[in-house]
Amino acid sequence: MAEGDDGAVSEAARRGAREGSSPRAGKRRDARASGPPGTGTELDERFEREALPLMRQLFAAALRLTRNRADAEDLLQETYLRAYRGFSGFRPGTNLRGWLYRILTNTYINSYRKRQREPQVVPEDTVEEWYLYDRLAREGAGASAEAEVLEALPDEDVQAALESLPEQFRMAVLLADVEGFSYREIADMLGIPMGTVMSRLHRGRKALERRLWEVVRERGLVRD
Amino acid sequence: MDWSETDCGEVLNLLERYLDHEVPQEARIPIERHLAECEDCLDRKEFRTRLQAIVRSKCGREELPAGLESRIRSALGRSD
Repeated sequence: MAEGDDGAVSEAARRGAREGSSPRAGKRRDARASGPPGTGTELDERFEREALPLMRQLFAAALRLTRNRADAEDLLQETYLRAYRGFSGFRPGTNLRGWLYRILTNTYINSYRKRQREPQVVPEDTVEEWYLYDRLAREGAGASAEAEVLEALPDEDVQAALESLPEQFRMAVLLADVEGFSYREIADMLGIPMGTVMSRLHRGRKALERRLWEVVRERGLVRD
Repeated sequence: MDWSETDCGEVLNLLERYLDHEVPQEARIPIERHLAECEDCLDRKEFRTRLQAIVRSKCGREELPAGLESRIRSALGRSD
């Protein structure tokens, strides 16, 4: 089962990273000496072919997590270093994207969030279920009209709305809605129960809707 | 649950998980049957679908900063 492997690799990646964060070519040979399959060269080629092309996608996630470009660049580099060191333990044919996102989120949780000032306001559970829909529905008619108002928002506004959520909610919404991971994948990635994923996702989405409504009003896209 | 009398409340309760592809196949069918008949629920479903697509497209695309890929490659001990 891929989950077990991923966990082991993620651990290995973390152990590897603790040995020192400065990139040295010698290290990776040592790290790889213990692990099948394939020779160093084959692994390098596979890493190049399969892992490096995901860099741009992972950078977007790193930016949503860290909320600033300098930290996002460092986080992405650290993620790739850890992934590279641990790559011999990754089983080909299993979920590489999930494996890389696990390293990304764990690296973020362990190294970056402590340095950052996090939004402190925890989403209340009292926001109505259809908060945004009901408000937009007063304005127009039908889902497409309602969604068009949101379409009109600049990307930066929607990004800022997502980034305004406290970390655990932001992470759940990012992994599910932006990255398309399943509840199970997110639970494994973050090491939390599925029920916790669902409740964070639910509350995070409601908080996001509430924030989006504020933005829509600030932008003057609705009367009110 | 008697799915022949699926009501809006039941469908809307399951809608989030339905849209996340997290309800079993046998539960999807009565939900879809209801959505085909109920304009209000369908509209709410469409709204959430579009909202998710908006969040995905506006938050998921970034250009890599110039030089970052080569910085990472060289950190990995590559020279290209």
